[in-house]
Amino acid sequence: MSRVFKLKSSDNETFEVEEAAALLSETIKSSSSTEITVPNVKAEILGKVVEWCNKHAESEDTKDQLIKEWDAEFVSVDQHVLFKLITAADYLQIKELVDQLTQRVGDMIKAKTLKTVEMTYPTFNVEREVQEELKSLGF
Amino acid sequence: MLTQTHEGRTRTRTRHHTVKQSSKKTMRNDEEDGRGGITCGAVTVELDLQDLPEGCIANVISLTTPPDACRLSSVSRSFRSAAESDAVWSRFLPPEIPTILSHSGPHAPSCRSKSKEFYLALCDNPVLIDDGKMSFSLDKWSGKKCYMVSARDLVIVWADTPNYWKWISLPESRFEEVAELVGVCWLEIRGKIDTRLLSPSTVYKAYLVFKSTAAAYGFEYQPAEVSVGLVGGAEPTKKTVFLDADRGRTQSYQIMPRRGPLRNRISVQVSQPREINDNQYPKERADGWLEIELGEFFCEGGVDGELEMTCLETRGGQWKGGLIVQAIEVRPKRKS
Repeated sequence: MSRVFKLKSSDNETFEVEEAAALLSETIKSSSSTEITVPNVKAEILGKVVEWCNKHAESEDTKDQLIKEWDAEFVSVDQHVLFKLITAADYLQIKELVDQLTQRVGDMIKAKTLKTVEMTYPTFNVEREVQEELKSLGF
Repeated sequence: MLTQTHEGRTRTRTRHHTVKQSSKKTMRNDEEDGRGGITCGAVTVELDLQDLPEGCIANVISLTTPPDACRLSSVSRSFRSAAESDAVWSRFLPPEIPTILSHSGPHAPSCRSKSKEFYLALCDNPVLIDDGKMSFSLDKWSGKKCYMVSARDLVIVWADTPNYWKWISLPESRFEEVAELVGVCWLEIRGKIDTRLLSPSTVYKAYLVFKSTAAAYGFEYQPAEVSVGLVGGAEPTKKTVFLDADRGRTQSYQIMPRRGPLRNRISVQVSQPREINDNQYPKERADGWLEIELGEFFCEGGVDGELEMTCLETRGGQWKGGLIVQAIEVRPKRKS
């Protein structure tokens, strides 16, 4: 009889998760209780993490093409959702999910043009400074 | 339009997810989705990236490229420490580095220095390996392995005959000796490299690295035939290139020499104008040498084999000389 775990979000919503899915999280694995509160992660995000765990618990073969496609779609979210997911997955120590999410962020950074990076920095000379720095390193 | 929403804010990097103000997201005149985020591009990547748990940021950066990491480092102080970290730069290095360097001479950069410095040192300062017959370095943009096979390690037909080729030392060469072409009518240069040395899943290009002396002759009209392919594999595609840096470029049509008994005696017969492909002419390298592309090869990895790179001019029969061959270089194709 497999245990059922209860994950509680920061906005007090509870998700019931089967053992196989729950144990994908190292944090849950090493927890003494079957009721775990995940601080600072809202239901919307926690729900998605649970969805990922359920999907990955039910299919044995992670190299399966269908799972890969599902994963690719799963990480194709807006970046603020992406970062919240990383934070949650990191807290719950779900390595494969963290890896997939960080790979996605890395890909997004690689695909970005310099302009977008520059926009967040409070000086207008940054583009020139960055180009000079890159040039001095030989890029 | 840039709004200075960052000024005066202190950021504390904690593992807890901080509540985001929706005003923080109004950095650009782009659409906002209903949840307070921006749907276009990744304008706020850097803002949110800082909120990620420690270690995650370094993970993310290590999944980008060396130029991206340098860019992130110089763009934002918040990323500098992660983007400069050994966690990131050690991952840009090929795993075989310690083995490769253990077979090199005494002047290899130290493994003990900070990973980024070590990485850049390996890019900028090629290391002599294989008893000084080859050199190894990293491609700065990708961290993939680059090699030069020196002239002494190439098969150059007639290279042992001083009437045809001379072995000399030049200070501007990284190898002890380079091969100076006195004069031949049969030019055949072949180089080989074990594909296990190359980085997997990489498109490589091979180049003949040489110099043209003031006395160079015989290359103005006759192109050379070059190819790159696996030994024992399918017949490689051959292409024609000109080893003459100046004359070939200015011709918009090929002048066909008629072979006479004396070298340099030609009668001219103008053929059809042809389109000039830039890759058919030598390019100047940063180290002052010239290079001409011999071909391209996709290294899958995990398959044993030998890559053969050739440069031939054996059809024209005319005498040619005045080139200095340093090596054949094999390096990753740069994505533009």
